[in-house]
Amino acid sequence: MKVKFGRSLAVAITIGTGLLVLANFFVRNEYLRRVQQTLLDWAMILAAVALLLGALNVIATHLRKIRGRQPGWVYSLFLLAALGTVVLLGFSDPRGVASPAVSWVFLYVHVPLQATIFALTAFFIASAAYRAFRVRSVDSFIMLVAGVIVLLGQVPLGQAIWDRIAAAKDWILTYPSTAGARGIILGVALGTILTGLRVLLGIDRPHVK
Amino acid sequence: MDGIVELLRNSGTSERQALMLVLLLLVLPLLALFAAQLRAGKRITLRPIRAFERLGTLIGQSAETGQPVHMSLGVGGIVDPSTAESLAGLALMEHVATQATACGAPLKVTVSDPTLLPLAQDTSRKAWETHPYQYQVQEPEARLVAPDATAYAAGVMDILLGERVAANIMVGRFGPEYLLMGETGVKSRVPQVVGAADPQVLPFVHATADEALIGEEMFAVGAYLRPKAAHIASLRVQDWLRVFLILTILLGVLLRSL
Repeated sequence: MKVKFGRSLAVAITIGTGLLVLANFFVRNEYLRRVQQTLLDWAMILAAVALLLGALNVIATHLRKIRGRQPGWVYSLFLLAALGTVVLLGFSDPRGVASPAVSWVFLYVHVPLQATIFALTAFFIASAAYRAFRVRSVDSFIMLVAGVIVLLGQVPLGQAIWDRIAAAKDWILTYPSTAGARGIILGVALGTILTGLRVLLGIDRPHVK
Repeated sequence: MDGIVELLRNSGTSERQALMLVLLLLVLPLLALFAAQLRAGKRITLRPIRAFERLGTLIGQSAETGQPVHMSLGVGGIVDPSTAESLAGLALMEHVATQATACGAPLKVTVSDPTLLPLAQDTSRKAWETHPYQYQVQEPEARLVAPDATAYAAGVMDILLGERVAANIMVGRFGPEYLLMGETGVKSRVPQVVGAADPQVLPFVHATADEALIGEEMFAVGAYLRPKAAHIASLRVQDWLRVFLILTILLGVLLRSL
């Protein structure tokens, strides 16, 4: 009975909050605007709390890995040491995340590591493209032809082979490619609206236990 | 067309507000009507989507081998525009967690956005608690890898390479970092089911996934896997609205051309 009441209350709060925000989209009202702003502020505070919970989850996961001497536990040790160091650097300076030490770690450790991992995509694109362009069906044949035209249309060699290849490339990108992408975007937009409405109407309750 | 825009401007209504109002006025009655028809016994045949059909096989293989299923909810959260995609991933996760717990397949769920973590943990716990012999089966594990998209991709790559995963299911918001994870899955010979909505990521999904949920298919999870009248009605409304939009576009083209 207690659980049922709690569930109904959570659904009622969701519906009420959703309707308030939706009303603010249609009606210009100072009171509604302020309510929406307060709700957005609350959402930001909750997101910050979630970040803290997330950090605790990361610490718990890696401590478990170290304690169990699971494969790769040494990396977990490095992760926790790095996490602790950055937190200490942040707290040791009144400027917090804007402190020179934290900025240094961000600029000279985080950014290069991120760039290094992201640089792998160049090689991964090559192997993924090879697989995607293998002619196994009519679809992949069409994709191969379109891909070759677009690739050759961007380099001087393509112009040397066929002087109208740049125009063909532009046509592919402007018409079939854009049409396909817009079709997907429209479908996703409709799906998003219906998902939102299902939550608003209490049909989907991902937040209710 | 210009007349309608002028009329809207004079009444203080923006085009976005008018469009949303029209959509809502269309959606709500249609949703109620279709749900009532389905409750009255009307039967709807849904076209088969191979990605949904494949899930059962993958979970079964995981139960047989004892190797875990990895499920990624993407890099989106629930307080930004990626909410709908994250909720679609969460709906699929609910099904996967229930099935995995029912047949004793280990499940590892990873998220990148901390706002999604409590929901993922709650969903996995719910699936575990509903199992009749819950203490004999492993509770699905939901964990945060990293709030940064690239770092998250690196963490997932490590799981796919090092944890002998039986299947990789990824549904949610993904950016270009998807390729790092998808391609690692291919190289580790892990069967993959992937759902994404971003048109720029879909070519990568096509190249790396065994089965793909493309765009709006992601939002059909409820209708296919938890077939309640309201979910199937919602899918029908989506189809009808699509037809309405196509006809509106065609009418617009005709009016402009004539």
